[in-house]
Amino acid sequence: MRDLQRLEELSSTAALGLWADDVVLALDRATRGSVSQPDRELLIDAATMLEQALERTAQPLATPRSARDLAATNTALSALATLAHEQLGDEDQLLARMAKTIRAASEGTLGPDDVDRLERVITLFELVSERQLVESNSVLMSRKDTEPWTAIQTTLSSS
Amino acid sequence: MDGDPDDLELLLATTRQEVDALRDDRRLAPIQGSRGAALREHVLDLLGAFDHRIAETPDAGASPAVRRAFARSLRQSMVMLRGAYAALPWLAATREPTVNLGSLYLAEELATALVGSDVDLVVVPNAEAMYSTTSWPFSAVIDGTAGFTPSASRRPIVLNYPLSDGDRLLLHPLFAHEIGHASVHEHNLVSTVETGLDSSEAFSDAFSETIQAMKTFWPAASETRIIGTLRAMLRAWIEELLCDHLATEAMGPAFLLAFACFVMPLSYGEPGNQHPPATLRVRLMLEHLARRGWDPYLDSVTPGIKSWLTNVSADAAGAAPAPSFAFFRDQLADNAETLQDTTNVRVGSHCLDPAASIPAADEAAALLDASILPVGLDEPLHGRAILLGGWQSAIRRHGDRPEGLVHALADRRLQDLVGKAIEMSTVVTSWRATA
Repeated sequence: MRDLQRLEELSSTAALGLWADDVVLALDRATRGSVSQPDRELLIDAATMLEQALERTAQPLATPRSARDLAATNTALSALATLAHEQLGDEDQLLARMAKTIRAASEGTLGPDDVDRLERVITLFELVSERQLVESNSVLMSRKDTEPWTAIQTTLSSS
Repeated sequence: MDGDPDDLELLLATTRQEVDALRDDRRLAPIQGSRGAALREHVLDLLGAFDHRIAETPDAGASPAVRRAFARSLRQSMVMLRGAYAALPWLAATREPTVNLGSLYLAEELATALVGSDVDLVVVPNAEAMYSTTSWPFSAVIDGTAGFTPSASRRPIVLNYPLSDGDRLLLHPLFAHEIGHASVHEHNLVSTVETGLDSSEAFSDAFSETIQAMKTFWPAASETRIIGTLRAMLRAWIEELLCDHLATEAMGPAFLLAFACFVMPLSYGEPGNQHPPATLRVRLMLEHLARRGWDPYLDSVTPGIKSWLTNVSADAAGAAPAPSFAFFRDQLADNAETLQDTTNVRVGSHCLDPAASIPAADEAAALLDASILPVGLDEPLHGRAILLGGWQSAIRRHGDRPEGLVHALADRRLQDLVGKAIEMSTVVTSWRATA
C-alpha cells in the first residue's frame, strides 16, 4: 500500500542531490571569501552529516534518527569509499579531515593547506549529487520496491 | 561538457518551459471550496522553489565545479517536475469526486481524528488495484530550497483507492490505514516506538546478533551498510504496523475484516522490505482488539472468521527467509504493547470505543437486516458504528466464513445503504452542530 509514497521518495532523493549541489556552490563561495549566513548554516549541516557518517563507522549501532540523515550518510559513505579507493586513503581520516575543512570554510578560517582538501570535499559532494541524480531517475522510472535480502537469498540458493 | 554554456542554455530553457507548462495547466487553476486547495498551493510552492533556483544562475565566469553543480541541480529539478505531473489528475479529481459521499465524509473524519484538523484530504480513484497515500509529497525539495518561503501550511493528503472498490464500502476501513501514514509522519510516531525499542537491552542484544548473522547472509556488504539497511526496513515495518494499529483504534473490528478481505487474497506469510507478513499483522490486530475489549463482540458476531484469523496469526511464528525478518517479527511482536499504546495515545477520544459503538452497530445491523437505511431510530448513529453494523449484517446474511466475506463485498444494496446512512448521519450531525 505504498505506491503513492514513491513520489515522496522521489522528492527526498532529489532534495538530497539538490542539497549536495548547494553545498558545492557554498564551498565555492567560501573559497572566494563571500560566505553568507545561509551558506554558513548549509556548511555546518554538511560538516555535521560527515561527522554522523564518521560516528556510524566508529559506533555502527548509532544509526541516524531521521530517514534523511540515514540516506545522506549512506550515500556519503558510499561515495567516500570510491574516493578513498582512488586516493588510497583511510576513509575515517578522510571523513574527519573533510568535516574539519568544511567547518573552517563555514567560519571563514580556511588556510593555505585547505585548498587541496577543499577540492576533495567538492569532489565528494559532486559524487553524492551524481548518485542522487541516478537514483531519482531510477525512482521516477521504477514502480517496484527493491528487495535486497530476498534477491540475495535467491542468488545464493540458485548458485 | 556538463555545465558548459550550451548545456546550461538547454537546461534553463527546458526547466523554465516545464515550470510554465505545469503552472499554466488548467487543472492547476484556483479551486472552489477547500478540498484540494492546500494540495494546489503545495504544487505551486514546488514551482516557486524551482523559480527561485533558476534565478540563482551562475555568471559566465563561474568555476567549472559551480557550473556542473548548477547543471545537475537543474537536471534534478527536471526529474522532480516530471514526477510533479502526477499531482494534476489529483487536483482534477477534487472537482468531480467519484467516491461514495458517505465514504468521503468518513475519510475526512478519519483524517481529523488521526492527523489533526489542519489537513486537506484528496480522495482519488486509481486504475491500479491498490490503496496508497502520500502527504506533503514535495516538501523535501521545497523545504530544502534556501531563501524560499512556501505558502502552504495545511497538510495535503492524497488517498488513492482502486477504481474497482469505489462502491465497496465494507473495504473502506482501509482508508484509516492509509491516512495513518500521514498521522505517523505528522506526529513522528516511528521515532517514538524506536526510542522505546532502543532503550531495551533485549532489543539491542538481538540487533547485534542479527547484524552478525547478516554478515554471512550478505557477505559483500559492510557492517555499516547492513545496519543502515536493517534500520530502514525496521522503520518501514514499524510504520506499517502503526498504521494498522491506528486503523484498529479508529475502526475497530471493521478494519480487521476489511484487511482480511483485501490483503489475505494477495499475500500470506511472505515478509517484504516495506511490509510485515500478513500473518504477523493479523496476529497484532487480534491482540490489539482483545486488549481494547472487542473479543466478546467478535466471539458473538463472527466466531467463525475470528477462528480462521486466529489460525492465520499462529503462522506468524513460522520460518523466516532471512535472519533480518525473524528479528523484525520477534522484536515487534514482543513490543506489541508499545505499538498499541503509541496509537492509543494518538487517537485518544477519537477511538471507536466498544462500550459506545457495539449498541450502535447492533442497531445499524438490525435496520440493515430489514433493508432500512441505518441512520438511527432516535439519534443519528456514528458513521464508523454504521460501517461496523454493515459488516455485522453482511456476515449474518452471507455467512460467518471466509467465503461469506467475499459475498459481502458483492452485496451492493447493503453497501449502498451503509454509504447513504453515513452520509445522512454526517449531514444531520453537522446541521445540529451549526444550528
